Amino acid sequence: MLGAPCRIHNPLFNYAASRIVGGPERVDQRWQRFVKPAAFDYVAASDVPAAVRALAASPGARALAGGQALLPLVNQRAVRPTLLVDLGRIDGLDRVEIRGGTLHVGATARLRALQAHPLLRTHAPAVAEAAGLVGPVHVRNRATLGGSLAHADPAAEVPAALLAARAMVRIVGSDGERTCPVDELVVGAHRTALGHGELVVAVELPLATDRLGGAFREFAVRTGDLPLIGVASQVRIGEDGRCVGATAVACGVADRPRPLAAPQALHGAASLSAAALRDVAAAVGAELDPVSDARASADYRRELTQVLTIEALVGAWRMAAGS
Amino acid sequence: MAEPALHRKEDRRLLTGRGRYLADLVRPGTAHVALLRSPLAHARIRAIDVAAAAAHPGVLAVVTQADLEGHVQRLHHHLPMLPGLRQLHWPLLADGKVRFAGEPVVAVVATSRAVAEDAADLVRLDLEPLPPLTSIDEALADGAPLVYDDWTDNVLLRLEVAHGDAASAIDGGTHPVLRRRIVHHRVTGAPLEGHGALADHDPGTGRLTLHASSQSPHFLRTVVAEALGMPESRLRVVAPDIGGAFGNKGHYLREEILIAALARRLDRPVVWSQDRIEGMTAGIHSRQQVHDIEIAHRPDGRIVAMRAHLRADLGSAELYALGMAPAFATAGTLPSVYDIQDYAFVVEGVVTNKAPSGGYRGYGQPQAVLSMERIVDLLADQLGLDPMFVRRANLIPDGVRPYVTAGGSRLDVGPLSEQLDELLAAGGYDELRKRQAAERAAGRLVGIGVGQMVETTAANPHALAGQFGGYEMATVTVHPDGHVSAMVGTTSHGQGHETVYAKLVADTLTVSPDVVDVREGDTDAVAYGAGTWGSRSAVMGGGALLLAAERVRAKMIAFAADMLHQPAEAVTLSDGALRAGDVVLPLSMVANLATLHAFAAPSVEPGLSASAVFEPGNTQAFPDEQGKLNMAATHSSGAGLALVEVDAATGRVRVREATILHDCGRIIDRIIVEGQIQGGFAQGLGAVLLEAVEYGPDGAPLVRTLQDYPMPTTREVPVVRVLHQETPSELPGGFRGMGESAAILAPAMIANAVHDALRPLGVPIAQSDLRPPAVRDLLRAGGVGLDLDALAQGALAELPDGRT
Amino acid sequence: MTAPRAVQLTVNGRPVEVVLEPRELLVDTLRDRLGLTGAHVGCGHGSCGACAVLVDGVGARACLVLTVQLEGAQVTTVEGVLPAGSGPDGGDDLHPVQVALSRCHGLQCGFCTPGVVLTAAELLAEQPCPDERTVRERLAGQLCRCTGYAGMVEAVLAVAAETAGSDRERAGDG
Repeated sequence: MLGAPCRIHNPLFNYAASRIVGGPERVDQRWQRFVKPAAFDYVAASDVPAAVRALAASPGARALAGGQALLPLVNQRAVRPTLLVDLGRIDGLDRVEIRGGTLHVGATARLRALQAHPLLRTHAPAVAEAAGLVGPVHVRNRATLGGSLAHADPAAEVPAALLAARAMVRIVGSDGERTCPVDELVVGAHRTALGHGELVVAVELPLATDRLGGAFREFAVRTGDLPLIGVASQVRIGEDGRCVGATAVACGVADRPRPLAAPQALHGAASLSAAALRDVAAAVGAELDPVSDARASADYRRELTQVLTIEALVGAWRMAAGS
Repeated sequence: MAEPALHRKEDRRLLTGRGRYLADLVRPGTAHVALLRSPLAHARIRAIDVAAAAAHPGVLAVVTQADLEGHVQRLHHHLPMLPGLRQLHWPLLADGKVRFAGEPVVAVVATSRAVAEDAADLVRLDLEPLPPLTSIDEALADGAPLVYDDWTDNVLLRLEVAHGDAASAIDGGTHPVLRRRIVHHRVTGAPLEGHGALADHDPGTGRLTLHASSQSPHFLRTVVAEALGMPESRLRVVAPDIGGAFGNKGHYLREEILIAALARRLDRPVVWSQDRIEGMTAGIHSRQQVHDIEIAHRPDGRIVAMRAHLRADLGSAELYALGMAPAFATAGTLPSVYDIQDYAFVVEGVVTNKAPSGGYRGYGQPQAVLSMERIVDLLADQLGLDPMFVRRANLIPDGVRPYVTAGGSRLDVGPLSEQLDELLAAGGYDELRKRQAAERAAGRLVGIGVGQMVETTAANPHALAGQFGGYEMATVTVHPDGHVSAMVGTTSHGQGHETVYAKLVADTLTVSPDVVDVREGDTDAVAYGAGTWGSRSAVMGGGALLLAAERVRAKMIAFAADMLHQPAEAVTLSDGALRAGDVVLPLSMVANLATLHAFAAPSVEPGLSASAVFEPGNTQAFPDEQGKLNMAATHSSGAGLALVEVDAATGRVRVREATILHDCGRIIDRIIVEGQIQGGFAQGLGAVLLEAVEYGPDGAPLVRTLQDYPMPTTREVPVVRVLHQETPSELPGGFRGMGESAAILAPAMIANAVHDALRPLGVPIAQSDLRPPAVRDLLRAGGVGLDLDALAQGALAELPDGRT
Repeated sequence: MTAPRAVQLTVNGRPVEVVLEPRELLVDTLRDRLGLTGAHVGCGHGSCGACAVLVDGVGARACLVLTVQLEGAQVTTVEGVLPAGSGPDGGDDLHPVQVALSRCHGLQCGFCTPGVVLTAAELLAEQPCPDERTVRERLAGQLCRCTGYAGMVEAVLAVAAETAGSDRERAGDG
C-alpha cells in the first residue's frame, strides 16, 4: 500500500507503542515531557538467551543497545520501561563477519565502526554510508545497527539502507530463532513486528555479486540531523556492463521505509543517461503519496525524494561502474 | 609586562569546567522543584488533585495558586499610565484558566528533580477544554473566543501614533503608493543554559538570597520584593555565571518569584532548573509580527511617507517586563536608516494561546530593519531601479547630527552614506556583482544582499517597563594591598566584562588589569544597577566605572599631595605611582597608607573607595506630547553584505560570504567586539534560515527539543569578515553600545541576498522564514518547478559541494 | 529491583564507587555526586553536546548514558583533560586546546566550552593535523549560541598548525 498518511513529524507527539520488545507498556498520552527518567530496573545480560529470558519475563521490559535513540525518550518519560535489559555486555553480539555465505552484522555493532568497516563498504555500501550520516559523531560512537533498526523511526537512515541492501533480520525469542526481511520487521512509525520477548540479534546482508555500488543521500535542514527525506540506493552492474539491479528506498516520506519502484526501469541499461534519470525521477514523483505535516508538505517531500533519488542512483551507479 | 597567555580573565575557569552556573550552585539538602504545566492551550481549570503527589515519598510540598493567595501579590506591567493598555494582574501559578500549553499550574518540591517529577506525574488536572487561538487572524476574527473573559477582544493594546503627515501623502492620490505585507515568524533566543533560580531564606534574619540566571538582578529584586511584600533591604539577588542570555533572560519570570516564595515558605534552599523542553515550550518566544506597510514615493524612488500597521502575536501577555515592548521598538525604528519624517503607525499586541513573547537580541529592531529593507527592495523592483540607488536616495543625509527621526530618536551616528561606501569597497561589491553574473550564466542562483542599520543602545527602559532607569552605578575600591575591586550593576553572559572593565579601570589607575577584580550581578555589591541588555554595558557600565575610577584617582592624588605637603596639581599618577618632583610613591604604598595608616594625610578622608552614578541625561522616561521620545543614550551603526546561493530544487540557502562594517565608537577589546559580531551573525542566520517555533492547530507546541529547533552549527555559519569604524560618542570613554548589531543586521542582509538571488525568477521575498521548505514553497508558487533534466545532468556532471 | 546498586568505575584516573538507582544519568552522577560540574546539561536529550565526556577514551553524551552501564569503565571529564597539579607551580596546567580557545576567543559564556575542549582534544589525539572541514565536522555536534564558531575553529586549527610546525622542526633537526 502506498505510504499511508500519518504524522511522522515529532514522533514524541504521537508516540505509539514503539517496541523493541513486544508487550504492553504504559505510554504517556500527555504532551508534557520531563527531564529525568521514571524509575526502572536494570540488568546487564550476559548472553542472548539470558536477554531473551529477561525480556520475556517482564511486560514492560525493553532492550537497551546504544541508548542513543531510546534514552532521550526515557529521559523525557515519553517511554517508561519497567526494566532495561542491557545488551552491551554480550560478547560477540557486535561482530561483523562473513558467515555462511552472507555478511553477518551483529545487532550491537556501533555505527561509528560500521561507517568505515571494509566488509560493509564492500557488500553493503549504502548501509555503511547511512551509518556515517547518523550524527553527530558522539552519538554514532554508541548508537548501534540493531538499535536503529528496531527503533524504526520513519525518517531514520539505517532501516531504509538495510531495506535497500535486501537485509534479512535475525530475531531470537523464547520460541527460538527466525529471520525476516526488513519490511516485515518494520511495520509502521516506531512499530516493529517483534513479539513479546523477541530481540533483533543480527542482520544478514547478501554478499556483493556483480559490480555493486551503493549510496545514501539525504536532506536535513542541518547537516547531520535526522533527515526530512533520505534515499538509499543500490546498483549492480553485470559482466556485460549492463545494470542487473537498481533499487532505491526512501525514508521520511511515509511511516516506514518506502521502496521506490521507478528505478527498476534502469534494468538492462548499459549506461546511466540524463534522460533515463529524469524519467525515473518523474516516475518517483508519480508513485509517491507522501505525508504532509508541519515540518514539510507532501509536495516538498515529493520533490526532495525526486532530487535525492537522482543523486543516490548516480552515486550508486558510479561506484558500481568504478568497482 | 609579559603578554598574558589567555585573552580573558574569565577564560581559565570556564575552560577548566570551573564556571559556576546556576545548576552548579546546588548543595546537598537543596529541595528541587518540578512544575506541572498545562497540557492544553486554553482551558478552564475545574479541579486540581494533588493528594497522591503530596503523599509521595520525598515530597516536601505541593503548591497551587490557592496556596499562594495572600502571600504573593499578583504581577503587573507597571504601566497604569499607558492609555488603552489592558491592565492585567496575573498570578504565579495558573488560576481558574490556563491560557497556553506549558503554563505552570502546580509546583512540586521534593528531595530531587527525579522525585519531584515522579510526584508531578501523580497530579490530576481536570480541565475543560476551550477553543485555542494560535494565530493573530484567529484571535481577531469576529466572534473569536476571548482569552480574558472580561475583555471585549483579544487585543492587549492598540497604539496609534502619527509623526508629520503621512496620511495626506498616502491617501491624497498625488503619489504612487506601494503596499506590502511582511511576515515575521516566531523564534526563540534559546541560550544554551536554561533559566534557573535558587533561593535560600534565613528565618532568623529574614534575609532571602536569590540566585537567578537573570540579566538584571536589581530589577528582579524590586519585582520579587514587591511580589513577596518583603523589604528590598533583606533581599539579595545574585547572578552566577550565565550560560547565555540574549534578552531571553531579561524578563522577570513567574518561576523566579515562585522559587523565592517557596524558599521563604520552606526555610530550606529551593532550586528550579529550567529544562530544555520547558524552555522551548513554556519559556519566552520572540519576533512574531505581521507588518502591513504603505509607502508613498516619487517615481525616482524617493520615499515621501510611510504608514505601518504592525501586529504582534504576543502569545501570553503575562510577562514582565511587557512582552509587547519589542513591538514598540519595531514601530519606533521602522524607518531605520532612511530619511522618512512623515511616518504614522498603529501597533497592536494580540494575545493568543501560546507561550509569552518577549525580548531577543535586537529587541524588535531585527524585524524593523528586515521589513524596511524588503520595502526598499520591492520599491526598486517595481520602479525598475537599482536597489542600491534607491537606498542611497533615501539614506539619512550625512552632515547634520544629531539627526532626529520622526519618532524623536536623536541619531548621533557617523555619516551613513560614507559607511555604506566603505562597506561596499571593503566587501568587494563590484567584484561580487561580476562573479554573480558569471555564476548566473552557469545557472546558479547567487544573490548579494546589502543591509544597513542604526541601533538604539544604552536605552532608558522606563517607557517600556513603567519603572527603572537606564543609569548605572559603580564602586571602585583600592585595597590596602594595592588590589582593586571594581563593582558595577551590569551582568556578564559571555561578553567578557571581567576583562573589559578591568582594562578600563586599570588604565585609569595606571595599574595592571591583573590586579583589578570585577564584580557584577550582585545587589549587595552595588546599590542599584540596571543589568546587561540593549547593548548598554560598555557605555553605561564602562561610564560608571570610569567616573568612579576617576574619583578614586583624585583621592589618591589628594592623599599623596597631603602627605607630601604639595598642592594637588603638583602630583601626577602614572605607571602605577604617584609622582611629585623627584618623589615617587608606588600606588600600592599609597593604598596601604590611605586605609591602614591614614594619619599620614590628616587633611583628607581615609580610604580609597568611590562610587559613581552615571546618568547621561539625554534620554526621556516618557514620550512627549507629540509622542516623540529619545530612548537611547547613544546609537551604533553598521552595514553588512552577504553572498548567498539558493538551491532551487530544495530551497536551501547557503551563506557563502559575509562582511560587516561596524561602528560602536571607541573599542575597548577588538577581539571581544568581533566575537559579538560573529555570534550575532550566527543567531541572525539561524533566525531566518533554520529556526522556527511552531504550534499545531490545537495549540500544542510542536517545537520541544533541540531536534525540533535546529540552531546553527559549525557547518552552517561562515566566518564573517569584520571591519571597524570608531566614531566616538559624546559619552565618557566615547563608547557606543555593542552586542546586538549583527543580530539586527543579519536577517536583513540574508533576506536581501535571497531576494537578489531569486530576482531573475521573479520570486520576491516578503517574510523572515527562509528555511528550505519555505523558500521552496515560494519558488513553487512562483511557477518554478523541479527541472528534472537539469538535475539529472547536474548529478551526472560534477556534483556540487555540500548538496546533502 | 529499581533499588540503588553499587557501580565501580574510574573517573579522571581515580577509582570511584557510587551507589545509585539505575535511572541515574552519568551526567548527574558526575555533577551531583562527584562535584564535577564541568559537564553541563544543555538539553538532556543528546542534541547539544554540552555534556560531552570520554567513556573508555571515546566521546559520548553523558546525558545518554546510564551510570549503571559503566561498571569498570573509564570516564574522562573536562576536569581530567590534563592531570590535576601537572602545571608549572603544582597548579593546573592547560591543554593546548584550552589555551588556543582563549587566545582565539573561541568561548564567550563558557557553557558549551567543556564539551568543546573534550571534543577538540579527542579529535587532535586521533588526528593531530585536521583540516578545517574535518574540524567543523567534528565540532558540528557541539552547539554554541554565543560565538558563531569562528574563534573555536580557528583555535583547533592553530593547535594543529603548532603541531605541524614542531613536527617539521623535529623532522628538520633529525
